[in-house]
Amino acid sequence: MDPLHQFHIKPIISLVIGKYDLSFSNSALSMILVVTLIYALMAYGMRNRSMVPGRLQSAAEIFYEFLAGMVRENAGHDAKPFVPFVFTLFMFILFGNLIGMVPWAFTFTSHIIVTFALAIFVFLMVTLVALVKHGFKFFTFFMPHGVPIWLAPILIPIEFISYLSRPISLSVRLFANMMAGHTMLKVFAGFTIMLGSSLGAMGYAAGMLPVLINFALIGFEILVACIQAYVFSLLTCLYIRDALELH
Amino acid sequence: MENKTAGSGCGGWLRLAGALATVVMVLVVSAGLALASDGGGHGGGGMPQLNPATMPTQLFWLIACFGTLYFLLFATALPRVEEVLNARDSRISFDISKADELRNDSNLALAAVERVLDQARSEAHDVLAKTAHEGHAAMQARMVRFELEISRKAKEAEKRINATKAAALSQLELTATDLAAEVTRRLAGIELDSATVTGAVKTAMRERN
Repeated sequence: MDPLHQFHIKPIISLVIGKYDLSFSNSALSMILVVTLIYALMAYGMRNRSMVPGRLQSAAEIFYEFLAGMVRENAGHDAKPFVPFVFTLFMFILFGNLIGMVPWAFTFTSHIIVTFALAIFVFLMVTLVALVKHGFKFFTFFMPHGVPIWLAPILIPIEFISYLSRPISLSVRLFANMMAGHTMLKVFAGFTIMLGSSLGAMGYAAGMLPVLINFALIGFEILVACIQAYVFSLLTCLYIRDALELH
Repeated sequence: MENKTAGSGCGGWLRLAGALATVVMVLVVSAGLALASDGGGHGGGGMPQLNPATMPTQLFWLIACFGTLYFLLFATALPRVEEVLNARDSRISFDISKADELRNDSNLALAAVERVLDQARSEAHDVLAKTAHEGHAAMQARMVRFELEISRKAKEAEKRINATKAAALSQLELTATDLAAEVTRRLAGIELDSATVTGAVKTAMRERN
């Protein structure tokens, strides 16, 4: 009945290299499933390269056009080389979130280490791009134009801290949303079971109420799964724009 | 309590929402309590997310999966999508320009047809006017001819009438002369010579006329 039980990493195939445990776990299984599904959609869907697309090809094209449009509008035209990365990021998170909605499936985006790794990668990539593109000028990013010089001692640390906290907010937002949603679903579902096991038939009858709430919550969680994938990739686009344009 | 301060119009909804929220809260709290009393039987004790022992495997598989997916999409799937989209875009713009061309052509053809029609119309108008004019002239000429003929015929008829009239008059004179001679012979028993009678009749007829 532990609502956090669902977040346990369970090794399926043990694999220990040196002092690190790299076992193939339920999380890795979910990831491989997600990669397979995305690649199947994109490669199998586009296999005919039809001028007039079928259903699957339409879906693949809509995803691509949606993300290419998102990058173009939020990161600028210069950001075209980042389309494959943002596309991969969005699809990986979206499918990871959605696959977690399937009962007994593992939601790998509910682990802070996974979301933090993605966020820190985005952060490092963006910072590197900014440094390579603008060199030393990159540090003017922390001191916006038109600000009186005496504000610098306050403003520069604030800007710097806010810049450093980007990967934290990015990763915690996704992880917390996924974990909270799944915990809540489990709590309500567990409540029905406990009512039933302690009160019998009466308990199960009363337990219909949490089921109804879960019914609504699952719809809400599917929405959250999509929105969080969108937010993550949208913020990545905005960070890419900052790196390319420095305000 | 907050419901009372809210507007009376939406008070019903607020009360309903409050009741629902209360039910949800009761459920959540009781479930939480129940789970707490269940007492972490699985021995996890806290969030599995904070267990550093599971982090290397997650990182390893994340990097492997994400990297593979990125490479697959970057190298094979996305170029294909882009190729199809570009092909479609160029096909659509080609079709649009072709349609524009065809529309121009049809407009030109339409203008030519219009021009030919105009020409034909003005020609027809000319022919019509000319024909009407010619017809009028011919009619006029024929009318003149008719009038001449009619007047000639009328003159001839008049001549004939005059001749007949003259003939009839002379006949009448002769008959009257004979009649007068006969009447005088029978009634008066006088035999007059024809010259006298003729002169008398002529005088009488001239007086009558």
